[in-house]
Amino acid sequence: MTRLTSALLSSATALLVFGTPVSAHYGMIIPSNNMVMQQDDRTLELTLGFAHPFEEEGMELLQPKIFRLYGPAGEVDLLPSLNAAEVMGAAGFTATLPIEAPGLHVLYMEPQPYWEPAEDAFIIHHTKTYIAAFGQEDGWDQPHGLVTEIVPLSRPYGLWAGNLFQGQVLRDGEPVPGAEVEVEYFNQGGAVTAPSDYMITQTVIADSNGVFSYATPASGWWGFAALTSADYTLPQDGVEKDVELGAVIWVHFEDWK
Amino acid sequence: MTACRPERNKEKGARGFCRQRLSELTLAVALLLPLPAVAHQLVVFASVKDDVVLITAKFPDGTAVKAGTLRILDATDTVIIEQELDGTMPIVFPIDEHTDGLVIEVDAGNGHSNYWVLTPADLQRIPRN
Repeated sequence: MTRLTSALLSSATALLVFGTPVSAHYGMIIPSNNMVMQQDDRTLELTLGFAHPFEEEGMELLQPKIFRLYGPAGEVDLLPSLNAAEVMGAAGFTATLPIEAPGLHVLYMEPQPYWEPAEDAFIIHHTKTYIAAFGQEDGWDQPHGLVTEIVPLSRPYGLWAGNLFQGQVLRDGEPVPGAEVEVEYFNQGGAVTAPSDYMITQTVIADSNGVFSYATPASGWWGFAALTSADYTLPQDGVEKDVELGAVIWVHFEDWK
Repeated sequence: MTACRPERNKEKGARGFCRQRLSELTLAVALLLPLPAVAHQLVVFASVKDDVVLITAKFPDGTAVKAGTLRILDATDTVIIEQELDGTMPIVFPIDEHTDGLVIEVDAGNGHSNYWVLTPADLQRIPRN
């Protein structure tokens, strides 16, 4: 066997064992605007889904367990506002959100566990996005006491494309040293072609305080997902399976023009 | 369209600018056109509850404006009220007959100024029993 044949066989074996590089899963909350000013439409359209955002491949999102607004008037249960809709070819939801007061509007979704046979595990993505209204902006750097979350260290709106985005990964309120954070672009309309599968999902590792950094190359919506393993299992066909917890934040970056 | 700021009002008079501002905003909302950016260092906000307008003026970090001037102008650009702020929020203003639109201006000096427009539609949402 030549070295070339051997190498090709090794590669094929590796693909059989590990599969091809895959894009990451993301819980998604995408509002029609994330910086609402006086002259803007004050009724936002929200889209909730679960997808591979670069490839715009949707997966089924069942009725979330929690869909909540942390807003100027406190916490508001938004589950009654959800309408079933097709999102990237799969079941998802839309909703409308009236913006009625200045301040930060943080949207949070906890989905039902998603069974992913390819990973032989459940996935639960605790997903957030931030909307600022009418100029007021205090509180964006505060955690919300979630099971796991990314707390922004860069203001998560009003960012130019190319800005460095920093966040801290928390699990049960504590920093996650060395957390793996996957980064993916919401490639709406397939505007961007990845030259390699490696370019679909990028990965950064947080430091000892759970702090990570990423500079976006382009404007648009970017998803950051910090993944940890739950300390419990869930049953699937009578067998206990691992649960992957994701702390997801969606951040919009603006064109420099 | 022109961004309306207090310093420009000094040059041309508040009345003309506020009329223009109210009509600009109404027109822009109607046509879904963007308005130019305005002074951003204050967060002036007014909402309607029952038969009053509730006014707040804060800095972007949520701190109340403790010194400055509040002016309320009606749809004919007449200054209805001009008063100094002392940090008490919200400021309550009875709508009475002023249902054709209001402009609420706050100038805290040193370039800290902004305004909020209540359109007739905003004001006429008031439930009247």
